[in-house]
Formats: sequence, structure tokens, C-alpha cells
Amino acid sequence: MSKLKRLLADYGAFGLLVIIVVSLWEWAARTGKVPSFIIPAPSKVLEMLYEQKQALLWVHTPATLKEALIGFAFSFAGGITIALAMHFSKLVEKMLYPFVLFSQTIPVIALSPIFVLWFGYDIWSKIAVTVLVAFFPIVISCYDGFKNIDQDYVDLLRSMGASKWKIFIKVEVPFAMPSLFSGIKMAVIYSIVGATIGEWLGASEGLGYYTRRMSGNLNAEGVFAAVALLTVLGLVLFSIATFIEKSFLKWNRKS
Amino acid sequence: MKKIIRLIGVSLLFVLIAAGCSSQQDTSKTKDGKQKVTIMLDWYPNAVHSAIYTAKEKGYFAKEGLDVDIKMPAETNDPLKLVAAGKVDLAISYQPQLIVSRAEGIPVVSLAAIVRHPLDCIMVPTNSSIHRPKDLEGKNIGYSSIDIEQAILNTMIQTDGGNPKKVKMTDVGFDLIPAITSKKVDGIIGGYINHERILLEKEGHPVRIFNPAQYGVPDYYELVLVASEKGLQEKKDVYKKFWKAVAKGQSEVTKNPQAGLKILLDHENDSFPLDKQVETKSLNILLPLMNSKDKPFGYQDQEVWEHVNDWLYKNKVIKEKIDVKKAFYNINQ
Amino acid sequence: MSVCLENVSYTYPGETKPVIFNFSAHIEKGEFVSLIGKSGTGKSTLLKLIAGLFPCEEGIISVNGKTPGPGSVGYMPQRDLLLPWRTVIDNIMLPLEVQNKRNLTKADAEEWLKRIGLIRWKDALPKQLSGGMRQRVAFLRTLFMGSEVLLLDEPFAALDALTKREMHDWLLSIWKELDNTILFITHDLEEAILLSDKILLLHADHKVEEIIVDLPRPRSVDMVYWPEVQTYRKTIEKKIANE
Repeated sequence: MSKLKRLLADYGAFGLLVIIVVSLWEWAARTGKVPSFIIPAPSKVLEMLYEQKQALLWVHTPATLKEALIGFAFSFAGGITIALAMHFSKLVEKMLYPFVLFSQTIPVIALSPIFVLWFGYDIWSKIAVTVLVAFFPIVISCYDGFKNIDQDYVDLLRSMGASKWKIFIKVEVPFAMPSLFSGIKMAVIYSIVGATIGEWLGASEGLGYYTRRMSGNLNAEGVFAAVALLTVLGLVLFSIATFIEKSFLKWNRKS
Repeated sequence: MKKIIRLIGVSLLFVLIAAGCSSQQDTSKTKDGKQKVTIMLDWYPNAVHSAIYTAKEKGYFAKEGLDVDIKMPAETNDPLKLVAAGKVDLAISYQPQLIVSRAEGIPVVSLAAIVRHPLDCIMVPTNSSIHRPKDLEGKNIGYSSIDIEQAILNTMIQTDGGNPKKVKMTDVGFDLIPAITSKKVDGIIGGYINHERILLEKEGHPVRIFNPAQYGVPDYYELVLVASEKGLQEKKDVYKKFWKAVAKGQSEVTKNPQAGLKILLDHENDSFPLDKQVETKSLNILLPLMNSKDKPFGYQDQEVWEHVNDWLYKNKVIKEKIDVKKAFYNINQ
Repeated sequence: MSVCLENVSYTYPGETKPVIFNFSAHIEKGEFVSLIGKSGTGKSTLLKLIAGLFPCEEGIISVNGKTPGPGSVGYMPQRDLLLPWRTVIDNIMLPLEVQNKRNLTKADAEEWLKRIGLIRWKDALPKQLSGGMRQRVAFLRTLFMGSEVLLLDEPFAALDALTKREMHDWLLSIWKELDNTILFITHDLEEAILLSDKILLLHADHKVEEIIVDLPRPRSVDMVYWPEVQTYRKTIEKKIANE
């Protein structure tokens, strides 16, 4: 099959669905079936995107992207560190695991005044919220990845006289990779979400800030325009993560 | 106060819309033949709503044949949007926001002025070097991302002879109080004189306030009763009765504020206990700002609407002036 | 003497009954010895003890005069356990990496791959190989432990009959070049007789019976049809049945 044909076969159905949904939506908005100040017509959203492209593309999107990427980097480093610490020490696991879980059940609103106190309104409060949200999938996926390793492989290396470190590097780490990558893909999306929420706690730029501001001014098109961009950001980052995963985990694909 | 925005706010709206896009709310009669009326408050129940709770508790609504359901918003603009979409009959919102909504084509109408003067103000710590709006030059003010707040700030500084461009404005998101108590900003705008100010005093952070009406901002109605255009057409009588009961409740509360407050506190004690001290002080500040000396409770002046309309247009908050005659209707006439 | 066990007993932690009791055996250098017996008689456990995976607390085990620790013998478990992300040749080189030894090189690995007919698959991933091919690669990996003593735990059990025959053929053909001492677990009596110099029959009451396989070397697969082989088989079967 030619490349074009294959593309159509894979994504044709999805594309058709998108076209149908967007058409219905446009029709519903235009005929007043849904209030335009709550759900604006897609055409109006596109108009808004074009009108505001200067601010949206060159100010707000980069701001949120920066927060998300830095936040992800910290989540990645921190998450893996915590997972490994819990893997190597039962004591650490018993101490930290509950906290890891608690951190996720606290509503961000409750933490908002604390974060303001500690980080103020600069980029660090956004990064803090991002890390709070994004480190969790990394910790869990990494930790579980190590927990679920087939012991027989470990025994094989032991029988070769391998040290614990060698076993860790040569067997445990590669086996934990698939699980870890699942966590990375989730964390990448959560980083965008976290950056957006972080901006709600107080910001002067970014897509989350823009959304709130547009909402506060009853400008639904603005809200949707920013949301559209957030979606695109999420998709792009997720695709990059998937691409990296594919190249690292060629051996894991069921061909 | 009005700047608390919840995460679920936007998604809640989406769910509501997805659930049904009918523009007329279910106005069936209840079992005992009363007319159902839903009202969404501007914020969580507090002293300013004493009249409504008194009217409910003392049966004024029932006497008018009404069964009133009081709802809470998730986000500060929910009341306006939901009223326009027909999901609630009535809402309490803000006069400037109503004009902005109409400018965006949202068909809402103000029926009565509940609080006739601004409650919003600039607050700075009493021990700060800022003694007038002009002193804000070179300083950092926290606000909650609403353009109107920025406009209020700019007008106040300009009127006092200062240059608004020399003032840094930081969007502080959810909470204004942590912004000022953590000293991350030099002052805040968006707090209310009957709420945030009292809370800050209580927590040991007394503040100095600057009243917008004294610095060039029109003396606007902080809280108004809102209905949709359609709702007003179809249920004018119902809303008249509603307001009659509320006005009665208001005069009760004015005569005996303690008793009125008690009704509110008792009602809220189960779900969210209110601070009696704070609410008592709040009500004392509110009553003179709610009651008009010579006009019936809730009466709206066209002149006030014109002034706010002009001011919003001048400050580029709205792109075009609206027709104020369509924006309000005195339900107590 | 290459491998020597004297009065070895072992109980799994948490168990009350020992899985191995007073086991003694001597295996000469260069011998191919099969270990057979009903399930649960401790055969795999024995190999693991010799491989140093379990601590030997009762009795003495010595390999070439020394107590064996992990890494001193080549151990091939039942599953091939080839690391899925490594190519065939990298899997073979794994023991050398682990032990930081340089005595064998990639060239040597290629040599061996040629000998076993898998050179084309040198850079393939394990998932591209069939079960029999993977077992052969695992065998090479075990060889590359560089140890004279090899412990093989039912290496051909999961293969179909035809592939098994191929493996026997292959193993017998290279037996000359291998100067290893092999201890081999199997449930297949014909396999044991065909390949071994000696068979150790482990009884349920922990007694060990030694059966010498007096067949000429070099062996070939069609010796399976020899009447001597069938005689050995019947004898052993009777011994097992009489337990």
C-alpha cells in the first residue's frame, strides 16, 4: 500500500469522525442550539486564534510550554529517584509510599496559599504544581516496573556471578523500561495540565492564565482558542514521547 | 471574594451544557402547588444574603406562592451564564460584569440593585508607605485577572494624579488574602470591605482601603439581581413576587440585624459554619450600602447605568457601548 | 575429580522436610552425567546448589577442589532467558561482560555461531528466533561462561520431538570439541542414555543409584534404535516403577 493509502487506512475513520463532530458543532452553535457564550462556533474559535495569534503563539504558548518542560524534567528526575530509593530500601518504601499517595489526594486549591507563600508568583510556583501532578505517574510506573521483573533473569545473572549493581544495570533497568515509558507518556500530558493549573494560582502569562482571563471576561472563543492550543501541545509532546519510546523499545514490540 | 475560581468550574459548565441545551428551565409546580424558582447566589452564603434566607425561613416566599431553591456557583461567572442559558431563573451578579456580558451578546437583565455601592476596593497593609492611590507607582498590586479590576485600578491611580503604567499588576489567581499576607504583593484589589478586610483584621493584618467611588470610578452597584431576557418576558409576575418577599426580608433584617443573621448562621451551620463575628461586622457595613434613603429597596437609576457604561467603554473593557435601557428593569415598579 | 558432592542436604527456608538428603556423587572430568528422577526429588535444587545460587549448609560441594560460588560454573536454566533487547551475539557475550573477562572475543562467538549454523542470525533479536534456535544460543552463552563444568537443567524439554533430535545430533557432533564436564537433568530416558557416560537416578527416598552407560563414543542419534539402548531404558524404567 502506498504511504497515502496507509495513512488513510489508519486515520481515515478518526478524521471522518472529527469532521462530523465539528460540522455538527458549527451547526448547533450557528442555529443557537447551544448558547454561543458557553460553547462558541468552531469558526469563531478559529477566527479568535488567528486574531490573537501574536499573543497566543509567541507569548502564552511558549510560557506554558517552558513551565511544563521544566516541571517534567524535575518530575522525571525526582520521580525516578524516589522510585529507586523505594526499590532499594524497604524502609524507605514504607516511609515514602503513603506520602506519594497523599500528595495526589490533596486538592490543589488547598495547597494554593502554601505554594504562594513558598514560591510567590514567579515561574517556580507553576513548576511546583507541575511537579506535584507529573511526578506521580513516573514514580508508580518506575517502581512497578522494577517490582514486576521476572526473577528468573535475575537468577541467571546471579549464577554468572554478577554483582547486584551489574544485575541492576544489565537486567532490571531494561526490563523496567516499558513500564517507565508508559509513565513518561502520562507525565508529559500531566505536565501540560499541571502548568495550566499552576497558572491559575497566579500568573501573568501562559495558556492557563489566558483561559482564566478570557473566562472572566465572558469571552468563550478565547477560552476555546487557548484550550485548542493546549490540546495541540499535549498531542505534540505525547507524540515525541511515543517516538522516543518506539526507538528505545524496538525489542518489545510484538511484530 | 468574587475571585475564587474552582478547577471544576469550566468542566461543570461543559457537563451542564452537554446534559441538555434546552433554554427553558423546568418550572413545574411543586407538590403543594407552589411555583418553583431557582436562584444562584454570587458566592457562598454570607451576610449579604440574609434577606433572602429570612424571606425563606419566615415564609415570605411561601406566602407569595413560591418555592425558592438557592444554589451556589462554582465559578464567578456561572450565575450570569447559567441565567442566560436558562438553567436557573435568577442570579446575583455584578453590575459591571452584566454590562460586559450584554456587550458579548449574552441576554441578561438586571432586575434590582441589592448592594447600591462598590464593595470592591484597593487594600494595603496599614503599616505600608502607601497612603493614596498615587503612591502605588513603582509598587506591585495583586488582582484576579478580570479586566474590570485593571480598569478600576487604572482609573483610581489616574484620578489621583499617578501614572498607571508605573504600577506593576500581578494576577494572583485564586486567593487574594495569601497574596497580601505573604507580602508577595504590596496591595490587592478585588477584596471586599465587608469581607476580606474584616478577615485580614481578624488575622492580624489590618489594612487601609481606597474606595473606587472616591477616585474617579462611577459609584456602581456591586450586586444586582439578574434574570434572562426571556425569563423576564415569561415570568415577570413570578419575579415581582420574589422580590416583594425579599424586600420584606430585607426590612426585617434592617430592623433586627441580629435575628436576620441568626437565620443565616443556623442555616449554614450544618454544611459550613460561618464566623459570627465576621458576618456581624459584615452586615453592619452592608446595610447602609444596601438600603436607599428615599427609594424602595432595589431601585435602579438609569443615570448610574449610563455612567458605568461610559466608564467601561472609555477604559476599553467593552468595545462598544450597550443600550442601557435594555440592560435593566426595575422589578419593584 | 571435577565435581564432588558429599552428604549434601538442603531444606528450603520455611519447609520442614529436606528436598535433598545425604546426597553424594563424584563426577569425573570430561564426563557427561545425566540426573534423572521423579519430580520433586531435588534435581533442579542440586544444580542450583552447585551453581552457588543457594547456600550449601549441610555437606560439602567442591568443583575442581574449591567450594563453588556464583559464577564459577556455567548454569543453563530451563528457559532460554535470552535478554530480549540484546542481539544473539550480545547475549552470547553476556557472561564475559558480567565477569569482566577478555579470554573470549566476538570473533570466537562468531566461530561458534558458524559451528551451530546460526551465523546468519548474529545480529537478530531473540524474538526473531524459534525455540530450538534460542536454546542453542543459550547453550553457547553457557559455554561462554568459560567454565569447564556445565550444569544444564532440562535444556531441550520445551522442544518438539524433531527439534530435540536435531539438538541431540548437534550436541553429539560437537562433543569432541567440547572438553567440558556436563551435569544434565532430563525426564527423557532415551536422551539420557544417548548422551551420557553415566546416569544418576535419584529415588524418592533420597537414595542415589549410579548407572554406567557402556556405549561407544563417538555417539550418533540413530543409536537410539540399538537394542542395548532399549535394554538400558527398560531397566531404568523398572527401577523407577519399583519405588
